[in-house]
Amino acid sequence: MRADAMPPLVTPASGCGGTGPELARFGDPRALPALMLGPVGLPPAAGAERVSTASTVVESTAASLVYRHGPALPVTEVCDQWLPWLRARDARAVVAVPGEASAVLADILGRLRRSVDLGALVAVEVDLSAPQASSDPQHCLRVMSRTRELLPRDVGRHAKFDTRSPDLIGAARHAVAGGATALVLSGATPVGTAAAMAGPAVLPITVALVSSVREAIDQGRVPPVPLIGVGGVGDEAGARRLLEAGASGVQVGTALFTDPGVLWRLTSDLAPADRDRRDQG
Amino acid sequence: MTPAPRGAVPPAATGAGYLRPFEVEVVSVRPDGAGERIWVSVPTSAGTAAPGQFVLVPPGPEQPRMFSDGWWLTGAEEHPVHGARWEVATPALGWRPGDRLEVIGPMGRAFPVPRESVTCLVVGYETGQAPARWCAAVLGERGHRVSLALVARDSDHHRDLATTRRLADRVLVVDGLAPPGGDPWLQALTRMVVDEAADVLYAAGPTTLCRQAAEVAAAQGRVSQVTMYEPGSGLGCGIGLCQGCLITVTGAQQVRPCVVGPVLPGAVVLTTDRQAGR
Repeated sequence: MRADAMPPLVTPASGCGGTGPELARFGDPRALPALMLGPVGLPPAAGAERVSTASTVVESTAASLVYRHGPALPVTEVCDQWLPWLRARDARAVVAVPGEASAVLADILGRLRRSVDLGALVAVEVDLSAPQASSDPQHCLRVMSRTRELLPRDVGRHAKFDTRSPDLIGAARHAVAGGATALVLSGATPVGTAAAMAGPAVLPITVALVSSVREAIDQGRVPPVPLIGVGGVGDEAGARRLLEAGASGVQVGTALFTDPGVLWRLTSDLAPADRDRRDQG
Repeated sequence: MTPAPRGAVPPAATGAGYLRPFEVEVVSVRPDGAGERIWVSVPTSAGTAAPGQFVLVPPGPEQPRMFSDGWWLTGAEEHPVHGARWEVATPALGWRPGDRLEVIGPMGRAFPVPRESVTCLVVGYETGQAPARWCAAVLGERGHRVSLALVARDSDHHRDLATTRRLADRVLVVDGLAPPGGDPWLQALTRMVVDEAADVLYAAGPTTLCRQAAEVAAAQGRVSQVTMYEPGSGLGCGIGLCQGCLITVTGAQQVRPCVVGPVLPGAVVLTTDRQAGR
């Protein structure tokens, strides 16, 4: 797959896809465009505090879930365990990485690149949604170009933004200039400083983000690049709303918690129309 | 031969052999202290169940929720005529025979049963009493000496106590212990382990209680098996995706107890200092 090819049509959202074996109990991972590993981080230093046992889930209602960001999946575990696991099953994954400190990012990407199972890696999703990252377009450019330097060219580079970005279009333009091959737009909405809300309630926010960036692309303010919508997608109707708004792919997050089979259903329901679209494109 | 294009899902990709919801019918209902116990008829293809396993109940369209409900399994039997049945401990929902519901299961790793004859102490806290009771019954059937401790914050939160006497050699009913945590728990657990001379400690209930049970067992030089995920606590998907139950175990590896557990060997869930000292 070339990095400038279309991004995977349906994947789990970052932090909602487990590590592979969990979803593989519900269906054949080979039949999915890609799974999602992460967000990954560096392994904790030896003797470090144990991970807090406080749940990542703060509150759940009928249509929304408030969550804290959980501990990162150690990149060593990804390279030693999960990429080999996926590759042995002919399945593939996107790996979500932090877009904050470039030394950490370089270390993570270096470890991924040296993994013998790099073949299972479709793309990395660089999380540029934190306010300090997305408010500085130059930071977005630097992080994405560093990612381009450190990874083989056939691995996709997705830049992820959400509603916290004060200048989404400017940040997106710089991310693409730095080498992003797709933009991931998340409707997850901050709740206070340490938590966020996801679930069906945020679908309109995701649709609006995708529409606004698509409009900016049409006006030439952002170079043409595929968009991926994430936030509130749980069925075919929701996914089609995002595709009609201009997305080329969707990610499914909280909907997986009650119904992991939705990944396979969306993949088979959306694939025919998507193939036509990609052929035309 | 060219491989099938990605995105074309063959029917087999989510078919037999994979977990998916199936419909069960309620065949009998019994009040069970603070909750209810129902027997449901299940297809024989659903497999056998064991103490420590649970079922997930996905939300229906009329009652959207972000997580499935989770209920402990408390019994399983296979009848040559009536087929397979499971017993499930549920909240008091007013079940009636003939009700139908969708479940996924049986989920998780069950309590292991020792091969040699040993003395066991099984501790269950509130909803955890349901699997504890079944665990004690199974241990007893296999010839182990079993003490069963049923613990709750007050008498209103116990499950049915009337039938428990038959299940174990000794039954302890303890209440007045507030939601677990702190020294009173450590003391109560230590006293029970010592008094019952238990070789193996089983604990089912909230993770704080179970971690403490593992600590007590390690301090006394006993083996323990504890549940590190509580179905139905509302904070977790039960299938390993949401990270709601993520813990770090010996070897600094993160595990999702709802998938690799809920029953984990107590030795892997101890705090760092005790692991380091081993």
